[in-house]
Parts: sequence; C-alpha cells; structure tokens
Amino acid sequence: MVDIMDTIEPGAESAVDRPLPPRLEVTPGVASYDTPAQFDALPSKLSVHDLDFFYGKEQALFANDLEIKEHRVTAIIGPSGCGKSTHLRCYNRIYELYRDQKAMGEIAFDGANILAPGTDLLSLRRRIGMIFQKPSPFPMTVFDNIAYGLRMHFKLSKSELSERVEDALKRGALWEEVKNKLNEPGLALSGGQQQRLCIARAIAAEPELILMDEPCSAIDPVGTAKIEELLQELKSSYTIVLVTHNMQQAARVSDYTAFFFEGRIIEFGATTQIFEKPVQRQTEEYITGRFG
Amino acid sequence: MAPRSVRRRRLVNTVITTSSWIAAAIGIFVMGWIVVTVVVRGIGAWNVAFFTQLPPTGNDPGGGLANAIVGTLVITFGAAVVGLPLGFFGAIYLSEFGRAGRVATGIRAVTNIVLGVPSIVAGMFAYALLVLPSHHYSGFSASVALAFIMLPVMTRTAEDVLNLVPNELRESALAMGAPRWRATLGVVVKAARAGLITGAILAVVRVAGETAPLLFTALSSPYWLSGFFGPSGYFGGPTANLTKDIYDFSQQPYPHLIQLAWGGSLLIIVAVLGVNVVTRLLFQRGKEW
Amino acid sequence: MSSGEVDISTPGGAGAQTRPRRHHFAFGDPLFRWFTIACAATVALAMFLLIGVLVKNSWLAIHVLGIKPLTHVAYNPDTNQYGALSSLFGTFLTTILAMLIAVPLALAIALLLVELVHPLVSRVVGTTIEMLAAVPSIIFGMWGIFIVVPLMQRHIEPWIQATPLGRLGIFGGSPVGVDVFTASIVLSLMILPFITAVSRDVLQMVPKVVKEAGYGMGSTTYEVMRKISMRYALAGIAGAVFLGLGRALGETMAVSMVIGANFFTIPHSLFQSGTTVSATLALNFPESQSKLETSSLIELALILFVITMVFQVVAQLWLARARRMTGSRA
Repeated sequence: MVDIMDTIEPGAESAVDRPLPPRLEVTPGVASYDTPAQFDALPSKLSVHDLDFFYGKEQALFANDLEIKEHRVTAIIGPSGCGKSTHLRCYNRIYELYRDQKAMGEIAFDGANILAPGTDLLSLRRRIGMIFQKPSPFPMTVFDNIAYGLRMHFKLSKSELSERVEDALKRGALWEEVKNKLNEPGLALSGGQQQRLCIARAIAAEPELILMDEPCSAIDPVGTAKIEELLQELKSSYTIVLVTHNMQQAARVSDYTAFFFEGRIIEFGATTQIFEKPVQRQTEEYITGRFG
Repeated sequence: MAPRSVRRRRLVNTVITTSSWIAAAIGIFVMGWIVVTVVVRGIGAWNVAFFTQLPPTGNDPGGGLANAIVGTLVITFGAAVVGLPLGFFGAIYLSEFGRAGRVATGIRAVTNIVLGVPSIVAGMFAYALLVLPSHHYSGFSASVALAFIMLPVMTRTAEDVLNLVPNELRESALAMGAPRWRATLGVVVKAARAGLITGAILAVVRVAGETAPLLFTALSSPYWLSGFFGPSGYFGGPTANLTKDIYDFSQQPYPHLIQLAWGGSLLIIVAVLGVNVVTRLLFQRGKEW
Repeated sequence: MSSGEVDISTPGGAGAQTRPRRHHFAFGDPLFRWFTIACAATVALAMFLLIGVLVKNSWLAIHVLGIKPLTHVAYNPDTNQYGALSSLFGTFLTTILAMLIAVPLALAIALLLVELVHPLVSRVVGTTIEMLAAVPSIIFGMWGIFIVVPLMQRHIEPWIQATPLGRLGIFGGSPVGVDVFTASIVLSLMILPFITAVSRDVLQMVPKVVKEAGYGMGSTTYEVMRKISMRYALAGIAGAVFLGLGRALGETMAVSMVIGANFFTIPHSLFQSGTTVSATLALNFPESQSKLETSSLIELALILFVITMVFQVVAQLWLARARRMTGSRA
C-alpha cells in the first residue's frame, strides 16, 4: 500500500514547521500578484490532471486540470450545479461514501496520486481538512470537538491535549469566545461560531490542505466577515481551496480563482486578472452577472 | 506529536465490521433455519384430512385440525370486531383532537403500558373476568383476551399512520366548510387508507398467532364449534384453536400428533409471514422503512 | 346577466336551484369528538379492569400466603409450597442473558445495514430480520424443543463442557438441553429483530454532514459509528433495549417449552432446568386444583404485570427525557 506519509520530507513534522514560500509581491497597478514565473516556481500542493467524475452513468466533471499552489487561497466559482463542490470533494475522496459516485484521472497530492487504489485514506484525510456548507459540530463538548482529531491520530498526554486544543482555538480565532465554554456542547454555539469551531477542529489535526465548501453560505454577515478575516491568517500556514457562489467573497479573499461551468474549468488565473480582465467570454458573462 | 498507529485502528475496524457480517449472517441463517424446519416437517401433514377432519385420539391415524382452524378464525374475528374499531377511532381522537392535550397524553401513556402487557397476563385477565365467574371456558373469553392485546397495537399503528397525513389536507377540507367529522372520515382517513388497512391486517395476524392468552380461556376442544351457547358454543364452552392444539400435540408422545402439530405450525407460518410480506410489498412501495 | 358571470346573490351561484344546505348535523362534531374519546378511553378502562380483576383474584393468595412467595424458592402446591423465587430468578436470569446476546448482535447488524452494504441489500437483509419478529412464539417453541434442545443436549453443551469453559460452575452438571441456556438463546433470537430495527432506524437519522465531517477527518467506519453516530442514537437504542427487556420478561410459550419446568430449585448451572414466571404460570395452570392454587397463579400474573409495567414506565420516561435533550423524535 502506498503510504502517503512517505511523501512528507523528513524533519517537517507539521504544517506549522514548514518553510514559508516567498511573500506575494503586491505592486499597485499590476494585474497579478505572483508573476507567471513566480507562479510556476511555487510548489503545487495539489495537481489535478484530466479529472472526470460520474454520478452513476451521468458525467459531472470533464477533464479538469488545476494547480493548487501552496500557501495560497484558490477560489472555485461558478453557477450552481456546475460541479464546484463535486470537484472539491474529489480531493479527499469523500465521495466514496456513496456507491454510485466515481472519479477518474489523476490528483497528485505532493506528487503522489491519491486516486490510485492503494492510497491510505485515513492519513490522507488527516492531511486534508474539510469544512462543509452546513456547520457540523459533533454532538460533543467544544473541547471534545477540537480534541477529536488529536485523540484519533496522535498520542498525547492530557496537558499536551489541552495545549493543542487551546492553540487550535486561538488559530481559529475562537478562543476568546469559548474559553469559558469548553465543556458546553458544540451545538450550543451560534452558527458562525460553530463554523469556526469546525475550522479549529480541522486545524487541530495538523492538516496541510484545507478544503472549504461554501463555508459562509449558512452564516450571517458578521460571522462571514470573521471567517474571511481568519482565512487571511490561515493562508500563511495552510493551503486553502475555497468553493464559493459569492463572487465578491472570492474577489476579497482569494489569490487565484478557477471558474467552473457545466463541469469544465473555463478559466483559471490570478484573482485580480479573472475579475478585471477575464479572457474567456463565459467568465466575463458570469462575473458581470449575466447569468448565475 | 507521536502518531497513533493507523494499522491498529484499521485492524479494530476490520474486526468490528467482520463481526457485523457474521451477526447478520446469524440472523438470516436462523430465520431460514426456522422456516425450512417448519416447512420440511409440516408439509407432510398437509392433506385433505388435515383441513377437513377433527383431530384423532391417541395413536389413531388420520384426522386433522379443521375445527381448530375454524376456531382460530372465529376467535380472531371476534377479537377484531372489537379491537379494530376501538383502536381506529381511538387513534382518530389521539391524532385529530388530542395532539398535545393532557387527556391524550395520558391515554397514550396507558396505551404504551397496555402494549407492554405480556400476552399471558392478558389471558389471565380474561380468565379472571369471564371464565371464573361463569365457571366455563369459552372462545368468547379468548376473543376478549386477544382484543385486549389488539387494541393498543391498532391504536398505535393507526395513530402513526394518521399523523403522517399532511396538515394541508386537513386544512383544505376544513377550509371548504366541511365539519370536523366529515373532514376526518372523508378526507384524512381516505388519504391514510393504505396504511390503516396494512396496520389492521398486521394487528390481526399478530394476534392470530398468539398462544398464551388461549391457555386459560378457550382451551381447546375435539369437537366442531357449534352455535353460541351450547357446550361447544362460542360463549358456552372450550373452542378448538390452532395454537393451543399445536402446543398440546407437541407434548404428546404420539408421532402422528406431533406431525399434526408441525402441520399446524406450517399453516401459521405461511399465514403470518405470507400476510406480512404481501402487505409490505403491496402497501409500502416507495415508502422508506 | 351574461352566462359568463357568476351570480353571487344566491348562494351556489346562478346555477343553484335549491335553498342553501344547512349543517343539520350541527352537533355532529361534538358527538364525534366524544365518541372518539370514548373509544380511546377504553384502553384505560381495560387496564383498570385488568388491575382490579387480578388484584381481586389474588387476594386469597395474598391473604393466606402473605410474603411467603417472595421468600421461598419452590413452587409445589401439592406439598403446599408457593414460592415464587424460582420463577423470579429464572425470569431475570434468562432475560439478562438474552439481552447480553441480543444487544451486541443487534448493534452489529444495524451497523452493517446502515454503513456497510448497498441500500438495496440493506433493505432485503433488514426485512428478513424483521420477519423474524413476526414469527409467533409457539413456532419458536416448536423449533426450540424439537431442533434446538436435542442439538444443545447432544452436541453443543457437551462441546462447551469439553473446553476450558467447562470448568466453570455455570457450565456444570449433565447437559439436559431443556435448560436455562437454551431458553436464553431462543429468547435472544426473539427479541433480536426488534432491537435491530430500532437501532437501524435511529442510526439512519444521523445527519449525513456530520458523518462526512467525521470521515473527512480520517476516521474509520467503526470510529464514526462509535464516536459520532452513537451519540445521536444512544437514547433511542436505550429505549429499545428497555422495551426489549419488557418483552423478554413476559415471553411465555417458547420459554416454557425449552426451559425444563423446574419449579422447585434455583439452578446452579446454565445447563440445568429452570423456570420463569410466565412458564410457571403456563405450565401449572392446567393442573391447578384448589382455589388457593389458582389464586396464587393469578398472584404470579399480577407480579409479572407489575414488573413489566415498571419497565414500560421507566422506558417511556427515559425516551421522553432523551427526546427533550436532543430535540429529536427518535
């Protein structure tokens, strides 16, 4: 069995220990952040080649190619039903819970194809965190929610566990609000807090890649703003892929954007370029609201 | 952080899921075993005599369980005549009028308790209520015991079915000016018809297979059921029935009687399982269950 | 007026020829309501009647025997013994053993039905096992006494005694087949389908998103079930266990036929005959001669009723409380 743990470089124990990539240059007036040369030089956390996806006999994704770069936020936008979530859910193979769903092609995570049959899913899913549209705290206390991944994947003493939980909550911008409520049920928090709880829970297990499937669509505007702020902080430690139907959010928050339509990736590039000077006609029509 | 062993977690998972497969296999195997046993041992008893003649005495050959079959049908019918309507209308009260009231909650609680009464206690109830004072056993007392069991079953099932009818339907009927009783009986009940029929059939069939309540009430009889008040009458004396005969014959040392017991068992299994399967197939297509 | 307009001056429009219908059954609704209440209340009437009749007829035994049934073991009216302990012991022992077998089996099957197989397979397997619930007790008894008992006596019980387990006292004595062990196993098979069905229903109601979140974090199937699904399902399953307990306590025919009718002693070994309250009732009743004996049997029925009623009430209270806490209709 291909052990995906083998692809981690020795010495790099966790995401927070990894060396940071070169900082993004923001030159006022220039239409992109990374120059194309910088883009090419950045390591790809995830490389998608020729991905097809089927719901039973019906094909939903057609020959998707995408490069997800480390320590960047990549947004996936497109009208509803275009396959954004379907595509995202291929990255951690969560679709396999459902019998008639099938993906074909190659998805290279740090170089190793995770669609290959021998992949160790348990480790893969520890390294990739997922946040869902509907906040889904486990029916446990706040503390136990965060500790879930820690207890499952690591051997920790009680004090280490508490430290890690506190750390995760701080990195998830939730600590101040829940530090006195650690033993209350996770479901007792507000919607926005629940979603940040889910983010903190995902972070606690030390993932490298975080997938977010429309994380703010069920959250009020204040909560949304907090989560968007959080995304900017998280970027420095993790790679983030964000599916969103809210274009303004994509424009605010992401570095790169992929535009999906009817299962195909129509255009992919730096966010500023997509929104200011889209190349494809369909992209432009979507951005300007001609359909959605 | 030191990682926990993925291999060990996988192993635990495999052990548990394997046990699940084994458990399911056991369940299916036992079911098959019972059915096959009853069929194999009982089919030999099924001949014309079985369905038309009275039981033999001692080691005599021939004979059948005809009177018992009739008796079971009559006793069950007697119970249904009381249990089904009472259960049905009681469920209408609980579903239409008393969703949350105190009376309704109390009645539901009592229904649940009566549902949990062992069938032998129901038999004792009928015995003490009817047999003791009148000094004789009767098919009627058996029907009373079975009605006692059937009533809460029908009430509960019917209430669940009626609750599934969407409120819009009720409101539409009432909004057209229909009085409550018309809206309920004409519209709601009609909408719930399939589930109600299924529930009624299943309640009857379940009660028909009972034995314990009949131990002290109808006993059994080697004669045909005749009339109402004579010594072999429905109200007058012991009434032959299938389940008690099976029980009695199974304890006799005569192989022929034991064979009859298996034949009776086969009849019961065919009826009970057959009705269950048919009603589920017919009335629950498309329902998630 | 043109034919296209509707005349609303006459009720029923221009087409109505008759006078307006009055609701002549004006008291139909209150009558209907009272009728249905009366029907619903019959169950309460039945219960009170039951209690009354049982108490009245056990009064003789209660008066004459006092507390003796609860302190004496043997039930043998011929020698003037009316102890209920042998029966009570057997009821509790067989019930507990049956639950110990049935509950883990039921949970394992429910796990399979919900997580491990194709939905179609799940329905077929689930239905087959539910059919087991429809099999009447007498059939279990027939199968029990003619198939299981000889199997136990000739093969399984001696085999167990040949293993290291055989050294334990509870597996001692010469195997008779008609014993507590067989009765417990048959009983467990009778309550298995019910607990399985409820467990499966409750587990199926766990929200998909939460399970996906669990799997998404790299949990195994078992981990998701144990750490996440069970939290939702626990209350419902516990309720089912209580209800299953109630049924096991009152089960009569199958148990009577395989437990061996030992009304006289408390068995030391699982391979010895025993009895339960319902079995004592069923087996002694035909022989019952004196008024005292009949009354003592009715007293046993009353005791059985009280025990099962207590379980019912506790189960209902537990379920109601659990429903309030999770806010679900489990």
